[in-house]
Order: sequence, then C-alpha cells, then structure tokens
Amino acid sequence: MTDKVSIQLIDSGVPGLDELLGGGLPQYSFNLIAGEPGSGKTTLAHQIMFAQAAPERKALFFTVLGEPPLKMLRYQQQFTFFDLAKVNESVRFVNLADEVLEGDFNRVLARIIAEVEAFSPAFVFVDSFRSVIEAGHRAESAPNLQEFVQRLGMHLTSWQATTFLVGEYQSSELESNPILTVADGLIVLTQNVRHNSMVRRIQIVKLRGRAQIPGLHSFRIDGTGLRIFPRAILEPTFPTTLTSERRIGIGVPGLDKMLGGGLPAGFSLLVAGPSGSGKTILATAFLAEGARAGEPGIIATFEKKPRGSSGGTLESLRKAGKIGVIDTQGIDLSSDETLYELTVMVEKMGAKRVVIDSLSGLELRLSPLFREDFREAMYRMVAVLTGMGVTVMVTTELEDRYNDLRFSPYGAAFLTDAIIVQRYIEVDSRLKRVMAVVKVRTSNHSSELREFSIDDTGIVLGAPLVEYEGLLGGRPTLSREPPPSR
Amino acid sequence: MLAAGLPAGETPPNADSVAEAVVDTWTRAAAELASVIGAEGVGALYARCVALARRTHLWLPAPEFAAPHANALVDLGRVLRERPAAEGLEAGSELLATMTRLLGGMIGEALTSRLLESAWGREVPDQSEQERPR
Repeated sequence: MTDKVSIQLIDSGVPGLDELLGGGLPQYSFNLIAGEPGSGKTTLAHQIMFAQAAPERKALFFTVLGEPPLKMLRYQQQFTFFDLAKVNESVRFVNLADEVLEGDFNRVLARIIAEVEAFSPAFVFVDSFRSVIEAGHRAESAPNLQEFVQRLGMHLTSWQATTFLVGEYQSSELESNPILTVADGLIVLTQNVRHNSMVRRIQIVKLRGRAQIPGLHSFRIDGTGLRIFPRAILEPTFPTTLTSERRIGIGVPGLDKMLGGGLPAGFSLLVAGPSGSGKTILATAFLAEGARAGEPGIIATFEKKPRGSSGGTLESLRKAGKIGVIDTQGIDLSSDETLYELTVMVEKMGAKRVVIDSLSGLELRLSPLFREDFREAMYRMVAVLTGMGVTVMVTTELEDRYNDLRFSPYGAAFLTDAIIVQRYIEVDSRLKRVMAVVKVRTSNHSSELREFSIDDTGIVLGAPLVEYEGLLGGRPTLSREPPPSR
Repeated sequence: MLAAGLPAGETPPNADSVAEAVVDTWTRAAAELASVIGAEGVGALYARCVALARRTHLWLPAPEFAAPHANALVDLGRVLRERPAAEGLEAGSELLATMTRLLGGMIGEALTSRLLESAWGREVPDQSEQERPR
C-alpha cells in the first residue's frame, strides 16, 4: 500500500477563515482558540459549530466556568448563525461546572468521555478550557496538566471528533504552555486599541500539516458573526510591473493620445489633483468607457457621494450591473478589509477596471493602527489588483503648492505605472485647470500641459498652453516667443 | 404538563398524587437543565421560582442555600402532601410555569421549549398563554 492518508478539510462556515487555514479545518484536529476576554472566542466557536452541526455530524459544547451558560445562550442567540432547530438535535450543551469545581481532572475527563460516548459528536468544544486548568491549580494535589490534555486529545481523536478548546490566553502566555505541544492548531484572537479605535485581529499561530496564511488579519463581528479579511500576501513571483500590449480607452477624448494610445491594460494609474479639479469625473469617465467596452468595473469610494453628472452616471451604471460600488462611509476601517472586499467583488463580477476614490478618503477612514502602514498597504493593494489583471485608477488629493512639485502626499507616485496630474493655474485673474501626463511606464507619452474644462459631458481637453511659461508655479506668464504657427 | 403525571381517571386527584406529579415533573426538567446550566444553576432557578410562588403560596418551603437540589424537592413533596390537592396543584403549576417563564425571558421561549421537550415531551406550555405574575 502506498496511498497516503488524505486529510479532509472542513468548511469552517466563518467568512475568510478557510482561506487563512489553507483550505479549511483539518478533520479530527485538536485545536485551541485563544484570546483576551471579549475578543470573540466563544462567538467563533459557536459559528463554527452551528455551520457544521447536522444530525450526521453532531456537536457537543461543554461549558465550564466563566460566562454562565444561560447568559451565553442568551447572547449567542443574537447572531444569525444560531439555529434553534439544531439545539438538542445536533448541538448539545453540557455544563461541567460541578466536576471542574472539585478540581479532579480525572472526573472532568471521565464526564467528557461519557458524554462523547453517549452523543457521538463529530465536533467537541470546551469553553473555557482555562477554567478547567485554573480549577486544577486550586486543588490540593495539582494534576499533571500536560498528561490530562494529552489524554483528552487522544480520547477525542479516537472518537473521531474535531476538537476546539477555548481559553483566555494571550499569545505570550502560550509560548511555554504544554497545551501547545498537543494542539494541532492554534487560533489567536486579539483586540488592538489605538486612540479611540479598536481593531480586531486573528492569527493562525500553528496548524499542523497545512500551509496557513501567516500574520495578523483583521476581522469584524456583526450580527452574522465573525467576518475575517485575509491579508493579501504577495507571492515572491508576483508581477509588480506588467508589460501589456493591449491599451484601453480612458474615456476622455484626447487623453488616450496623451497617454501614448490609451492606458496599457493591467497598469495602475495615479490621478493627483487639488479638490474640485475633476478627479472623480475622470474616474467616472474611465468606468463608463469600460462599460461601453464590455469591461465591468468597480469603484471603491471613500468620499462624499458624487453628485451631478458623475453621481448620475455611476448610479445608472450600477443599476445596469456594469459596475460594482463599494461605498464606505464608516470609520476605523482596515486596509485588509478594503482590499479583501475589492478582490472578492473583482472575482464575482469579473471586473477589469477598479477605481479607488480616493487615497486621501481611505486614509481618513482607516483605523489609526493601519495608517502607520499606509504606504505598504497601498503597495499591496495596487500590486494585488493589477496582479489579478485589473487596470487600477487611484485618485489622490493634492494640495496645490506652487513652490513644491509633488504628485502624491504619500510618496505613492513610484507605486503606480502611470500618473496624471491636475492643477489650478491663474490666467487673466481666472482659475483655470490644467492636466498633464507625468509618467507612463515603458511607454512614450505626451509632455504637454493641457488646459481642460468640465461640462455636462465630463472633461473637455483644450489646447496645449504653449504660449505660457511657469504654469506649474501657478501664475504663468506669456512666453516672449510667440507660439509656433501651425 | 402536570396532568400527564396524574393518575388517569382520578377526579379530583388526591394530595399524594399531586405531590408525586409535581416533584416528578420538576425532577425531569431539573435533570435536563442541569446538563446545560449545572446543578447549582438549577438550584438557583428553583430558589427564584419558589420565592416568586411564595407570594401567593406562603407555605412553600424556601430551599436552603447551597444544599443539594434533591433535598429541596423532598421538602416540596412533603408539604404538598400536607396541603389540599387543589391548592397543591395550583402551587405546583405555578412553580413550573414560573420556571419556563424565567428561562424564556433569559434564553427565549423557543430555546426553552427545545430544552424542556427532552424532559416533558411536547407538553411545554406556551408562555404567551400563561398568566404572568405581576
């Protein structure tokens, strides 16, 4: 016999968790869910249990000390995953308080085994396992914890149960904890508070036999339970620079020519400009052109809802199913969450174009914890999306400073393959808009500064302002030499 | 739910059969609930039910704190045998109804019914039809 055992993976039922686990929960594994009080351990355990429990795959949930079982049942019912019809049929709650209070591990083990024998569960949960251990420490003769845990793991594996021990542990406490040597999987939940903002994160510290996604991943808890946003990891071979033969239309007459014949597909384009210069209008034209060309698009907007013609165009495109909108008005976002939602929608819609409007709005809405890594997050966001074959347009607010030529407040200019900059200038005591293509990687492009205006149809490019000099200083003067005659 | 525990055809039931039916019905519920909320949790629930029922049935024995729950049920059976059957039936019914109402308030009527169904079958009363004490 040369056939190796194949470990069946179980769908956890928690959005995003299976991706972290490298596909799902290994069947018959012995896992520890650890974290501070309030970090969501019990909710995670219940969510997994109710997702999986069925008459042919029953689940036993042992409650120990800590949260009274009635309170736990009261609060857990608030989540949509709590299925009353499964209680006592495929989910059974068992209280171990009496056995644990005696501090006799043998009695606790015997009760667990007896219940497992009687109910034949495919899943066993013990919440909170720390209570079992602390009760043991209080007993006169402290039992051998590691031996107890090993025996428990052995019995439950023999009974073919996938097991989860839930406990109030910090990561640092677990390093020398004997449970770790026995556990096949270790899931740690944390809460990070920065200023007035709280971010929940999850880490798969250990998972035997699987390649989990390492690192910390943010998650939220809402009425449906936990929603995890796996942090996109760039593979070593991830293409960070794409060369593309195909060019796509940007939707503004004349601008494709300035870009050297359109924007190379799969490129990232930064549109930088001051408030009101027309960045969202340009982004709308980009998506509308995609819709015309049969390329679905997505706009993630972190600004006030676009009004006027842009707002109307986006809404009609959305209603027609040609674009998807991620409209985020909340705060304390994580960059992982935003990127995860974008990638999910890109795959769902088969999107070819994505607009992020704007980086400035996104930064404002991020939790302070994620603002520190904003540049790295931007890099991953652009690299992951372009790696999916999507052409990305990112807008950014750029304060006009006429003694300082910059294209992004975040040093983001080098992150993108192409840059368009918009500025205001003063001509004849009037504010006028100008636009230039600053960069298109590996491509020729126009170096003209073009005046543009905005009307009901969108952006209208004007003629190059060749008769002026000092345009980027904000107060141009007429050139001494007349413009060349045509 | 008490009617099922009373001997068929006995009209009206005598005090002994009422006491037996009340204690048996409560014992079955307690066994089921102890599995979920622990023996001490059941003891606490019983103490609260008795405290509420004593407003109208002052003769009900208050359970001793932290004593085994079985002791409290022995005391309950003893006093029920000493009371007129109709009065005992009313007090026992109130105890059980109070228990389902308290549980329902905490974990919801649906989950309460599911938990008690294992003990009482389909006889769990609909709390919306119960008269609730003020």
